[in-house]
Amino acid sequence: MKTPRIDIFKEALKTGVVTKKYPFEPVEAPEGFRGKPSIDFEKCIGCEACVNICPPNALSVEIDTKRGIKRVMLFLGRCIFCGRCQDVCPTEAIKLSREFELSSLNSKDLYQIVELKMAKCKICGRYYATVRQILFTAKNVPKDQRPLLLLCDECRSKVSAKHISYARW
Amino acid sequence: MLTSITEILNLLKKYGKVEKIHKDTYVVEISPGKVRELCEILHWKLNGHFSVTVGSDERPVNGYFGVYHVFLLDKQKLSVIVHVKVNPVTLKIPSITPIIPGANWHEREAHDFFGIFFEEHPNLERLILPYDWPEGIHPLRKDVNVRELRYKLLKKETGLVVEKKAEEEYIVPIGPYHPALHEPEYFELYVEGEKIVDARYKGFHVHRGIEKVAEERLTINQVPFIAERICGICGYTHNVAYCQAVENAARIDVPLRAKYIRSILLEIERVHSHLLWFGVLFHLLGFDTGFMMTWLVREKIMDLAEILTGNRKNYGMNLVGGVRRDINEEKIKLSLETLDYVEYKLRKILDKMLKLKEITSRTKEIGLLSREEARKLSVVGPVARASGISTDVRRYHPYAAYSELEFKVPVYDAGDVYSRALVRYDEIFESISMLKQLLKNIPKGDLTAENVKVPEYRKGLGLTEAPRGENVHLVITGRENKVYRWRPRAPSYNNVPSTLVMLKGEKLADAPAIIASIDPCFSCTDHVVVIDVRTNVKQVLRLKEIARGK
Amino acid sequence: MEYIAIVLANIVAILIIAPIIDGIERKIKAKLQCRKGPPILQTWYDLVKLFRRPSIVTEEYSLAYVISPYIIFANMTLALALVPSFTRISLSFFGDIIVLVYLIASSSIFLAIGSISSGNVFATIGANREISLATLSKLLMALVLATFATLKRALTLGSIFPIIPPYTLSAIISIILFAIIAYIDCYKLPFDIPEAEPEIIDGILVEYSGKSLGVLKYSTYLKRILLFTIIVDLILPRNIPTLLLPISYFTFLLALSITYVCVETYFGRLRIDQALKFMKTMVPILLVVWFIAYLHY
Ligand code: SF4
Ligand code: SF4
Repeated sequence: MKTPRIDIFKEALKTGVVTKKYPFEPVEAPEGFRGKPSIDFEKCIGCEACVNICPPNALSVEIDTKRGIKRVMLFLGRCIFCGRCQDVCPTEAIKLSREFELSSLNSKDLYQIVELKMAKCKICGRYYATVRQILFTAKNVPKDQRPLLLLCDECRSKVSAKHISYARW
Repeated sequence: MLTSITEILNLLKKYGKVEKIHKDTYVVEISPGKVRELCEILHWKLNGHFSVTVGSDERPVNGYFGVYHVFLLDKQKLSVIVHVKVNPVTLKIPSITPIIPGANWHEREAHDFFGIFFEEHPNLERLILPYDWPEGIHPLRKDVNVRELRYKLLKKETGLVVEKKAEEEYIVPIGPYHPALHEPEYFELYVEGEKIVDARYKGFHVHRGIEKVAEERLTINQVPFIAERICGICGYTHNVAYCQAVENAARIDVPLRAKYIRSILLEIERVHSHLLWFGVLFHLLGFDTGFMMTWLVREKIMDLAEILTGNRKNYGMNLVGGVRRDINEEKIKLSLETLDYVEYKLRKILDKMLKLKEITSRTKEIGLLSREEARKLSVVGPVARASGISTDVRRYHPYAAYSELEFKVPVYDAGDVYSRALVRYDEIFESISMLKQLLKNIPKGDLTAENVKVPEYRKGLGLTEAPRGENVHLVITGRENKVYRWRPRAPSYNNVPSTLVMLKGEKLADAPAIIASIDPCFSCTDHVVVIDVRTNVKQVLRLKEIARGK
Repeated sequence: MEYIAIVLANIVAILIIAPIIDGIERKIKAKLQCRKGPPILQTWYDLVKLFRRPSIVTEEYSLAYVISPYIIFANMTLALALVPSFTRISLSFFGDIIVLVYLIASSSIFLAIGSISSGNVFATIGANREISLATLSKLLMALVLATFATLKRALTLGSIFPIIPPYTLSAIISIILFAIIAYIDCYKLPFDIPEAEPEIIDGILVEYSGKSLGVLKYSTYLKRILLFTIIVDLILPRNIPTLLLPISYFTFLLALSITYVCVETYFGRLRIDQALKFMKTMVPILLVVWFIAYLHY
């Protein structure tokens, strides 16, 4: 009955110490780790794709109709690090990093807010999309149709109903 | 004895309309009067087992409430869903608990959430809703709005305060917080000296309202992420079960490569979960070295999962129709190396640890669950397999890539804590061998099905073998890319009531090991919650209200 | 006067090293479990932290619950004065061996009484276990000490130590038995039944907190040192020069504690009935050894 004990003892000695002094000694997450997402303020166009897909509503959007500003907000406190936002972002603005130490004494550190200027519709004068969004879309739209991008959805459909119906872009 | 599938279908047809919802899965719609008869045939005569009862509010669709009793016939590789339409005015149907005691909790849950009365149920009391929940509000009904409900409940001032009575018996409370149990639940052990004479259980302290959230707010492809969070250890299996249920309902063909990847991750999860269990068992028996050393090996598996999926535990790998990440050659190589190391290490230490005298003397013939009791309570997974019942979803209702694998289903007859350990011990090595087969034979191909469209009001059943046993998800798809009804049933839901049988007559010192021997996952069992109400319940000692599990 | 001063210095030294020895044990245990483990002074840090906290008492507490930690601590300190440790000088008088047994036994009883009067269910179960274990282990200990006394035909510890030479069979067996009993009495695994954490939430200690918990823990370390010291005294030869004595004492102490912890690491916990059964088998052996010792003269 003694032998198993001694075997375990030998095996333990062979393995050696495996724990780390973690908070005092850095630990690296492997490549492809789904850690803290961060939004590249330069790249984000405010298309809301990530907001729609985010399962726990960590991403949200707020539109200031008076000043014409759209805010895309990421609250890390709700994030589940699923990486869906990264999958759908058309500009690769939001990406997950390998960082996982998110605790902070200040809850403000958990917010990332992108503020984007919006454009007014040329016909009705309503703020309808961010400037960057329009510029981004323009790249994929034939030149002659680009003026339509300056209109909001409603006005555009009115206009295009008059003209030919364009393929959806 | 009926064996062939056609014979069974003919039998079912005698009782009502039979509809095939997907492969090997039939729904038979019968009138309430015949429920008991059919359920008795399915569970006892045909040697199937009762799996779950799902209540559903289908008034917006067809004007009735629905109750679905799901039975799995292992021998015939069939799943039979007995559907009963419940009159929305009388709300009464016969209970099947008198025939199948394992249905007790299931029916009480449907009673709590939908207000359906199960006639002749021995103990139709509240199971999940808190004691101070207002009468007549059934939260999973479609006309209950969470926001309104929350407002109503927060305004309510007094809860029901249960006075602490003079203690006539000697009660040892294990829980709601207890170092042996890493989740909140509440066992009351009645002891004489060190001997347990009776035990009661009250669980469901950690309801999270996942079903309601999923039905009200999430889209079909967001639900997998919340499904994964049903369990803190084996979440991926819920994720897969849900996706399979939807895929089955929508008849989506998942590419083979995706199926292989799912199987790989499921088996990785099983290995780490079983190792975790061994660690906990050793810790409870005071053998901390065993705990440290099994977890040391487990850590390798966790690291592997992290490399393959991007996270240690919440793999987040599934969407309806396939998986999100590929496994490349380099990762396959790394996985095989890790598995070799893990296998080598475990062969060195784990069986040695199981041979230690303190471990055997404190697990052998402790916490007995006979085959009959196991059948009555319809327990699943390693608990059933340790009591001589050969049941394994991977073998009898193959999903993902399991039909292409060779593996054994370990079965032991003793029904004690030790045989539960042996089942898990064998399973670890079976899983490692399965993983090797999977990694070596993984076919090329796509990761997701093309054209994922989910039609409305279709039913789908998703089955997986979680580390703790069979895991069942029933999904009814809804409109606008939502689920209409989703009922996940974690294995512990069927296993927990059996602890009360096991505990009786044992020594108090063995209670933690017995409770742990079913590998209980209380949060999984409590998947369905409701809202955080500030209850005033101080201490619950009203015996009548505590789950009897009989 | 000098004599008292030396005894006092002795006790102070032991008071300082007791937690350090525990720290060393923890470190070794960690290494054997493939962990880094806490610093060696960790036990001291823990104690200091506990001493700084107030004790929280239960609703149904009684006087016994409050004072028993201090009584146990006093008992242990006094017992330490009775046995020679760093020096050969100790409080020595006729019949001190009986006082020693009394001090050790009474602290177990005080511990049990104290925790029962806290009114906690788990404490009560722990106390039950403590009493059943302690009665038997104290009986065994008394038997071994009686054997020693018979061997040397003396009732003063001073003349009993060291028991070898002469290297008689009964002397060696009784030393081994004493070592086993000391092991059990230290609540080392598989015998840490009254304090089983996963079973009964630390049992006897469950309702103690802050200062009183600190004092109780401290006494546990002292008790361990006391038992170790007795073993060391039993085997440390008389002819070691006085100057070398502290070093050799400390080395022996360390060696003992390391051996014990190495054994402990590879054991699980027994159930109370299994432990009692094991201890009961020792009784007849002890009686035989005693009888032989009696004849041996
Ligand atoms: S990682 Fe997931 S939860 Fe976090 S912001 Fe992106 S989509 Fe939302
Ligand atoms: S982060 Fe990407 S997806 Fe989200 S709003 Fe900005 S551009 Fe769109």
